[in-house]
Amino acid sequence: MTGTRSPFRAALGAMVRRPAVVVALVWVGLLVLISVFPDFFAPYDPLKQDLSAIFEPPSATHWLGTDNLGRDILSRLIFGSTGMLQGAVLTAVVAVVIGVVLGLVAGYFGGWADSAVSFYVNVLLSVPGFVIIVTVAFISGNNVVVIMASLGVVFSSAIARLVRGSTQAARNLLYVDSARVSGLSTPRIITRHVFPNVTGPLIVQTFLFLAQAFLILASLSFLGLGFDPQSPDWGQLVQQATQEINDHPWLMVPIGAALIFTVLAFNQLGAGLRESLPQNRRESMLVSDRPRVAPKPANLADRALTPDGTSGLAAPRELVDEDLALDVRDLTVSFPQDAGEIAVVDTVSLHAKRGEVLGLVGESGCGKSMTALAVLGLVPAPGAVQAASVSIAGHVVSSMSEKDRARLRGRTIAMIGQEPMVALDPCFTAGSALVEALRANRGMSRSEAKATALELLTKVGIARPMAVFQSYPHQLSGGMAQRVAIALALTGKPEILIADEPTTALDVTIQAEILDLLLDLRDSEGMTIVLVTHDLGVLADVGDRVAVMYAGEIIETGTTADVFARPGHPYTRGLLAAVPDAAAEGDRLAALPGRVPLPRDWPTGCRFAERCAFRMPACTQAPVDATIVDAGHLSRCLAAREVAAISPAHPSTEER
Amino acid sequence: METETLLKVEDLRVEYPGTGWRSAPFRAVDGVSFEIRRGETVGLVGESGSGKSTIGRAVLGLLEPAGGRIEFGGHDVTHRDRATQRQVSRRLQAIFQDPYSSLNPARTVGRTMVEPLEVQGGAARAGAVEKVASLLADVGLPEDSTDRYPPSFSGGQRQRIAIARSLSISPQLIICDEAVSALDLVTRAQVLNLLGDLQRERGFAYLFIAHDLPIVTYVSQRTVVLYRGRIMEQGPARAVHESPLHPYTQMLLAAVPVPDPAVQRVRRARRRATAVSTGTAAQPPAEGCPFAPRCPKVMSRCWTQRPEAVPVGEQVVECHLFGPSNRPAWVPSPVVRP
Repeated sequence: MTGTRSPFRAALGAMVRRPAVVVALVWVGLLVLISVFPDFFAPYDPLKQDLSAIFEPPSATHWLGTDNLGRDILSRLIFGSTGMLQGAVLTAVVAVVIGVVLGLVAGYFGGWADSAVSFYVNVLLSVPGFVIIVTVAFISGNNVVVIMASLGVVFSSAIARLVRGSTQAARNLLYVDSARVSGLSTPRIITRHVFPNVTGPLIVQTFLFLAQAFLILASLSFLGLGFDPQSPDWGQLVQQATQEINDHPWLMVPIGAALIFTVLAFNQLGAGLRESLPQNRRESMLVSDRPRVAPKPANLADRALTPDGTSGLAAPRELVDEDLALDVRDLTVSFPQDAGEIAVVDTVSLHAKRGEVLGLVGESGCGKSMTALAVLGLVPAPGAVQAASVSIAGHVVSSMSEKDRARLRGRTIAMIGQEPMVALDPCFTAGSALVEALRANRGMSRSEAKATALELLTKVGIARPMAVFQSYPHQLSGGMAQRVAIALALTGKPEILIADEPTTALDVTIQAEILDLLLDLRDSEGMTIVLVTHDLGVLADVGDRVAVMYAGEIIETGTTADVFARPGHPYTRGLLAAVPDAAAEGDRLAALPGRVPLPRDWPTGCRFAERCAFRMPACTQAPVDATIVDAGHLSRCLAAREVAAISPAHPSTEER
Repeated sequence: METETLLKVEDLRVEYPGTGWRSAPFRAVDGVSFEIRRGETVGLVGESGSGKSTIGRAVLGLLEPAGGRIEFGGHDVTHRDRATQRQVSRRLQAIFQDPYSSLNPARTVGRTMVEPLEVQGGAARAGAVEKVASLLADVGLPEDSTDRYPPSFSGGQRQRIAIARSLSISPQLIICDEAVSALDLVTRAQVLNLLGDLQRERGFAYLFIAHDLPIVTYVSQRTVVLYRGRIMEQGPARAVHESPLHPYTQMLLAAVPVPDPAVQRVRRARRRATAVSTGTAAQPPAEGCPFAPRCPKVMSRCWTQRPEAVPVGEQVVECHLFGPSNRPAWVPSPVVRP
């Protein structure tokens, strides 16, 4: 963790790990050094002629050869760099100072300040920069400082626009609000809380401009503008090389390479710096120190379906297989880390019968969503999925090619998510999205597809389907968008619907309607629903069976009625007890201590042990196997039956 | 408990500019009045678009009200300059919903925490470092937290930091704007416990803004139920939860699923028998009750006449069912659609 290091030091550390950035850093450092102390580095006087040794190729005395007057090319490059770098830096400084001030003022205050700055930006962007520079060059009598400063003014328009955009976004951040609530003065809010958000894009843009200024400066002196024609600047070198290109092509190589390297190095450095700043970097949640994919002795679902001598257990697996819409065995999802693979979903087995609602519940970071993605075959790279078998509606997908698997998605198995807007392309109306999906999934003609789309919209409870058909996603409310997303999922007549927190972003009244809709679809289409949720109320409302996940494992599974009435795992009990309800007013809530450990910290024994009130020495010694609480109700806890026998964790809310 | 009024909001109106040229402004908060007494927790509850967060932002001084009056600690703070804002911020703090964007990722926790003290200057500034360390301990964070950056903390820990920050200047009122909505179940319970403990120790008041009625009921002494910028019902939290008067409050309560499958089955059946789907509801009337299109007990008067606030026992309800001419008992009339 980089928690206690300063952002600057952390940034430097991150940069040094990227070879391209290191090379760029070395080149630019060298350039700065030689341009500041040219006398120290250059072997010869750049203007010293030696007519006895003209157009010499590289040699021990002249590392890069000599030119038409016998002058040492390396020395001329070194002396030429001084003016180039000064000019480019001047341009960049002028551009950044003007651009940042204007951009911050326009973005933070808005109103007339914004209009004035926008006018300035638009005027400058509408005039070709090079025309301005050439004009300034003639008017100022070829004064390099004036030329480069005007170039800075030209560039400032782009920086002002960039800073304005980032500032507008930052102004609405909650910590800016917090600072305003505290009564912090506006200049302090801007320098402390707004400006740091602008630095990322600003740095990249500044380095791009440095490189551009370098090239423009070279072009100018190539045209005979700017520097004194006698001075050995890089534009002069290019011009000379051009004149001799047929007879002495070598002359172009050193100056060409120097220009290309410099421009590339500036660009590379800008990109590298931005990515290493803390506000632009994402910490991985899975930073691992050691590989940890331990095989599990047994898994819950298998035990649920395999007779092991106890009476009242389910029938042998083969007999019930046909009824299973979803059958996942020993699913493991892992991500590569520095020291090896780290599992975020660990030997999970699940099954759901046709027409059943299976709830997958747990806190964030427990692997519920990753399990759902693995079932769909959509685990993001570089994640790796292993499973004994995964079968969806009778298709064994774990042994299928990616192409065959893609055919199943959208038809046999579909998904809806927490953010319905993400599922809908903002450029297309809800209707055209549905029509496209119907044509692809059911091979319909355009008119058939339109009729079916309107039918589907009616089916998901939309009263005026034609109006919604013609609406763009941004015109729909959250609940309406989720209905459209469900209609979209139905275009392929899926047998299984994976619903990942489908109502979390919605109001309770809309949530109730969406849940009604899902249950109606289950009843009318016989659809199987896997509902990923963290809301126990939602689970109690619609779940037939439940699998509770903790730290990548399923720790309890059973019918919703059994698990809620007699929770057999202390974690499940803890979840139930943490729900505030009217009966508990004034009292403290029974909140479990601590939090879900990160995957790299998962212990060998029970993963819940450190937060558990029922912990025994045996819990931490070896992986804990599943215990049968009732028929089809299992808990990965050594004290499962004792825990289940305690009075209810959640005092039932009285009916009303 | 002291009964002195700390915050008094009277006929508050907040408008957002219309989206088109010369279009009428959108009224996000329309004639809202309520009070918070010292040491009390008042809950503002409603769906998205009910104006609950807008009210919070107006009280914090982040929005300029279009009308009405906000009185804090006996002073009119409806319109404030920076000097007034600084005066007010000595006693008023906020905890926002999103623990990821409410802390500046580029500043250490210590520097973020010191900020409110810096603004107050002078005496507050001295000993700031010790104060920050003791506050972090109070909210249950490790000692070394001051030198660390927000990205190395979990959502629950960040919300603790935001709480500690709001405590640094000993406020009298803390606005919690969906402060626990983004947290997981167990973390949420931990943070709610912390908020309760701190209030018992220090005696400040909360304006607790949330969309979840059971949580609001759990933390609040009084609840204000909002719909489309208007108050539907307010009263003691338990009374509003156990005997809701307004059909909207009843609908909100019925929609919350309880974590007990047997009880929930009965509730679901009962709710489905009465609910009017939002998908089929008409636009709310310009005059009249905004809830009319979704109301299962709507009467013709609801479409044309704005209901007045009527006291019923300890509760105050804005609904024609309880209007003067309707005193004896309400009679459901057929659903009228304009």
